[in-house]
Amino acid sequence: MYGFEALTFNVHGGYLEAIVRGHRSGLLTAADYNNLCQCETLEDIKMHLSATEYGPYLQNEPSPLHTTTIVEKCTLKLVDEYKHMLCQATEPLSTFLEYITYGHMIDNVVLIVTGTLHERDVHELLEKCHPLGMFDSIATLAVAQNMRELYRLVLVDTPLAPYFSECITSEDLDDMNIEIMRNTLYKAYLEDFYRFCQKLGGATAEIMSDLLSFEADRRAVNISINSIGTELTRDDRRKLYSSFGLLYPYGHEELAVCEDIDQVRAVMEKYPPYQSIFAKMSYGESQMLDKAFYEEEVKRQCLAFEQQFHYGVFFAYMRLREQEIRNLMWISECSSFLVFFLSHDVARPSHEGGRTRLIPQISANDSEIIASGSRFCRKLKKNLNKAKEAYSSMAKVRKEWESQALLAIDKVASEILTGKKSSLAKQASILLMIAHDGFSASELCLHYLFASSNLDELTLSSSISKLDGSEMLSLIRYMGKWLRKYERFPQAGHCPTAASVLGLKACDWVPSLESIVKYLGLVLDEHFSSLVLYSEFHEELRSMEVVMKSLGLEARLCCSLANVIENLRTEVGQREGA
Amino acid sequence: MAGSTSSWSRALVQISPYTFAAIGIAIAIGVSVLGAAWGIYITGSSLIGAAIKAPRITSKNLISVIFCEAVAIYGVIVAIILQTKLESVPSSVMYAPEALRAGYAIFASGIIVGFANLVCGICVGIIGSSCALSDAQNSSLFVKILVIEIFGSALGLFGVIVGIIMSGQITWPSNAA
Repeated sequence: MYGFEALTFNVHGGYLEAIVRGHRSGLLTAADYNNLCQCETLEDIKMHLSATEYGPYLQNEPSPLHTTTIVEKCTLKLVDEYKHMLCQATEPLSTFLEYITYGHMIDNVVLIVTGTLHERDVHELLEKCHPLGMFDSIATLAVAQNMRELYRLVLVDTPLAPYFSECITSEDLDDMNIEIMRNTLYKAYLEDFYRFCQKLGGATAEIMSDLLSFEADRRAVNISINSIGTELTRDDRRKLYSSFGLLYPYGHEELAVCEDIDQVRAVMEKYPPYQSIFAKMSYGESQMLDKAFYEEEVKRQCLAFEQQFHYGVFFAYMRLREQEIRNLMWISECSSFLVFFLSHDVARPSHEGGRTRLIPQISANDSEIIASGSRFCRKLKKNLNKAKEAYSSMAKVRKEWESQALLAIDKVASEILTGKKSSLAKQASILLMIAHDGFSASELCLHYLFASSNLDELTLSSSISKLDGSEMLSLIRYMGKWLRKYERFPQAGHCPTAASVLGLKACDWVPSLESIVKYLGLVLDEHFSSLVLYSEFHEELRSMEVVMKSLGLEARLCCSLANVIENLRTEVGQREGA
Repeated sequence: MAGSTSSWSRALVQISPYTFAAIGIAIAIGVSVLGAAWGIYITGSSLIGAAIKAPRITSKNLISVIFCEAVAIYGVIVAIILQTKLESVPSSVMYAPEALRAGYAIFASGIIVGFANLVCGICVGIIGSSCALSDAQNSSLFVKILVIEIFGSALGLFGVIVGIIMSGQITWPSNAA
């Protein structure tokens, strides 16, 4: 009976509830996140974490730390706490706690099956599995060829067995089918969990139904957005939506027929709780949607702790910990990226503000979130998107380039310098002029990126592969501008000495023609298929092709001329010698 | 006396007043102790769990357990008082109105005290559990929640007061009748 849980809850659940609330008070606070965001290396992060509850888990790690080690040890802490609670729990709390881990089990199963499909070693995959989702016969998954075998060999003995009834087919496992399998399993799991909580009744049912409905709705929106433009039919899409939640059933009907993000937004704005989420994003932006959903989820999970004598606190605590571990992963990744970026002595203005802006933080107490970050890619995307927060720092960068260019022109105009220095100054001023004119502030920041000599091609190509359409277009336009500039001003060449002789530091940061061409090649390699398929890129690429052709002709001409000059020189040398 | 129309009331007055008195005394002590025990286990389990992460709370939060215990003590006191009011009367006057009244008064006093202490014990126990958990998170909350507990324990006191007033009027018919 709702309202009278207080009379009997503590018989079996009082001790564990008090324990989980104690764990919750050990979540990282806003002050901790501030300290962590100021960290520049992984060692600093380890030092700050040793003052928190993660201390005993990280203190024995040897010195060259990786982000994966930090994440692994923090997850280990969560697993220890979970196991302690599980062994103390009686029914129905023990079943409830086990339900929380089935999501991880599903992820592990899909990870192993996908990895096997891509011919990876089973042991490597087992190491990547989430420890909360392990079960005994998990390694046997690598043997299965299709879903029926998967079920018969391994999964029938696991708690996931009842979820398979909807997706057993004899089709071979391939990428698309595996994703559909993952989503079908997760849908069945959520519905089962929801029914279990309803059966428990009381405050647990009410609080868990709120948290699970939000999860179901969030998954429905993500499925809709991710399946726009793929081969997934509307009926298949509808089958992946869970049959509970605020959006069920009318919202699902509308979401199933959405063909682009603005239609999804129009559907979601009819529901007041989700309207506030979508109101935070301006039109056309989909990157911030994940962040907004995470924020809302954390807020609701914190609210679950307001009431006593129910099981929702266990679920909320596990989710909050997982979010915290995600935050730590992003902080570690961003700080190791900062090490890379800072070692090139990039202009300071974009850095001070940039550091805390790169990593806005989430703490369970304040419920803000860390935006998605994969190192390098984030800076690249930010510059290409002209994000407003970075605008002021980019304006500073622009002023710096402007001042350097003007300085160079002054030096040429002044009569103090003579001879070699004057011609050097002329060269430098031409170089800076082409680097500065016609480029927007954010593109000026990209100069630093492409001019750096330590740019690792592998990282660049992986982050290029993560760019989406509009960002790629701006990147290609940027490179096109460079090509045209170099074509118009053939006398613009690399001036390595200008920095030291004339004090024009910006000359070092102008990317050369070879590097531009090399990185353009990388972009083309990574995105060849999408570049061919989407027509927006065609005109840009055609104009670049024209430029390249003329440059190529020139180069051939110059090469033959250079050969002639070489021959003449050797002849003259021989004549003089003779 | 009751007419022949209602057999229930005839049945009731045929029951010996000592039955009612004895049951009243049993309820006074038994149900009070039930309330106290209920309250103590509700507080105690939360207190033990919360004290793992915040050991400082244990000594202060024992007050909640003491308040619950007080409830059981009220029950014992009232039961002892009630049983001193029991007197033997000769069987000729056992069903006289005054004897019935005495029996009913002891019964009612026992019920009042018993059930007042039951709900008081549960109330203090639940508040004590929340008090332990909040104290573990933020120690300034302890004193404020303690005030709520004090108000809660007053409920048991009300029951005891009324019970004792009722029992104060108990007079069995004297032997000469």
